[in-house]
Amino acid sequence: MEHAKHIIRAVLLLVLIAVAFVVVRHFALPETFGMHGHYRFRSVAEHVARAPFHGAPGACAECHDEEAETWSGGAHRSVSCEVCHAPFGTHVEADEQAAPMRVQPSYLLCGRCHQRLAARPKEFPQVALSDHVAENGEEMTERVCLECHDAHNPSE
Amino acid sequence: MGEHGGYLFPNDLHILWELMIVMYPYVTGLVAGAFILSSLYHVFHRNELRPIGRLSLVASLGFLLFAPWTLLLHLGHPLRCFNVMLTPNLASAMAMFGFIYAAYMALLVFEIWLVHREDIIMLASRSRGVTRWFYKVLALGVYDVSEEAKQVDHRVLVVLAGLGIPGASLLHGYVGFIFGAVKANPWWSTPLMPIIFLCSAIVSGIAMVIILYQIGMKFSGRRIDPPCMQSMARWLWLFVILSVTLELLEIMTLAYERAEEWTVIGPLLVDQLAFTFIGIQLVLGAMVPIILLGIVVLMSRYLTNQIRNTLCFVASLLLLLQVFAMRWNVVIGGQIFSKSLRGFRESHSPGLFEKEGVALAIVLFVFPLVFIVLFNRILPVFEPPDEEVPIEGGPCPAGGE
Repeated sequence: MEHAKHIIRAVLLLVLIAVAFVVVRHFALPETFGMHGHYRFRSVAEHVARAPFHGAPGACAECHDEEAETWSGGAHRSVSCEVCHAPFGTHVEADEQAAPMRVQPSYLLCGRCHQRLAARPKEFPQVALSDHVAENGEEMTERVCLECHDAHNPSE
Repeated sequence: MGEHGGYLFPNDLHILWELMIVMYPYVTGLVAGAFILSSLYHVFHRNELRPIGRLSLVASLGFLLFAPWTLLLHLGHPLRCFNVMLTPNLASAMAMFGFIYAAYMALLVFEIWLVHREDIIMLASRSRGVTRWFYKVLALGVYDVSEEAKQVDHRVLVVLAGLGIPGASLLHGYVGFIFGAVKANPWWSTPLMPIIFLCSAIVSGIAMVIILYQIGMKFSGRRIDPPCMQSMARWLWLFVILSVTLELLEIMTLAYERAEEWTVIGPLLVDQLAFTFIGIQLVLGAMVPIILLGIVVLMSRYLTNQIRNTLCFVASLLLLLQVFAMRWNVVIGGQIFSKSLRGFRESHSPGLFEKEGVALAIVLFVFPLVFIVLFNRILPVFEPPDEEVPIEGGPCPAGGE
């Protein structure tokens, strides 16, 4: 053992690193982790305590009944208002208008659902955007889709 | 949006595992391969491999240090990376990565320290000031270089290298397992996957050490040891034959069975992956090096050292390319067809400056090489030259056979 002093020191160093890991793990591990599964249980209460930021379409209809009526009779009735507009919470706070509602008028947004894609069901309305715009004699501007389609009821 | 052949479901459309996930098995493969080559000298006493005994260990460490970077770049959120060890989900194969990686790293550093201990002590005694302190800390304050201490070192080294072989095999075998265990993907799901990955890892490791050794000798103005090069060529030839045979056996089984997945895997190989699979993985990267190395192994007595070195260098470069192509074909190939066997998406080409782009992949590949150069400035990566010098240009000695 006399000539194995360096080996003993190296092994001790490795043990020290392993112990350091166990100590760091002890302090780094969130208190409620693993209580009811492989997650931090307290995060459930933290999420419950957060105020809702999005609203259901019914919340928008309270003020915008005209748009809501057009929307509810069209093919986009399954697309919630906040898909094209900003979240409810950016517009309304404590039942009062906090800021003007933002809207995304770009063809890029329309293209997310209606650009032709092999992975979409065949019966779903989809077009090759640039061809479709050219066929209808339009220029490829940002609001080009809105020139012909009403986003609240695109068949109109 | 591009054109797609056949039909894809939305969850088949995106390639989520990109270039960094191609790099991940590639880099860990270099780690395992270089280590297994070093153990041929340290455990199995293939003394002709003495000149690369240290280099292969240091190369293994260099690539090991940068292997997790590929995952960090792919996943993002680098601060979360330690969660895989702090809160491991033991039902996940990936969770094992942290532990296997850490244990293997400890073992490798320990082994490299033992191999270089004598040099550390010598440098500590020769240097002054801060440098002296640095080497003293590295020596852990023990300066025993007696014959008895060296024997202890040797015994521990053999045990460590012996443990390192299953360690390196596990490290890389599990990477293959991660792909092989994806039941829903017929191009990945085969129990052969860990073995194929391991064999090709050894190929890439030996090829990398051949290249590093030749470049290192060139820059340090020393001669390349012919028996060492001959021996590496022989091992490389063995493993490339084994690796390519296993890769082909897997495909031949699929082709012969003609099970339902062959309807997409067949076209995938000859159409979507034609260039990277047939062109690089089979022809340029496998057939050509097998012939070149076959010449080195079978016609050794007719070759001059220069021709042997050149043949080995070219074959190694091509094999590094072959193993990369194999990783690419597995990782990307497995994501460009519909898992419902209905069609293909367009093949994937990474951008130059993206998060998972070509530039970053090159940087990641260069970092371990920089590490080896820096390591060499602190401790010698190459063994001191032997006294015995065979005649330059003459036929190769038996090479320890």
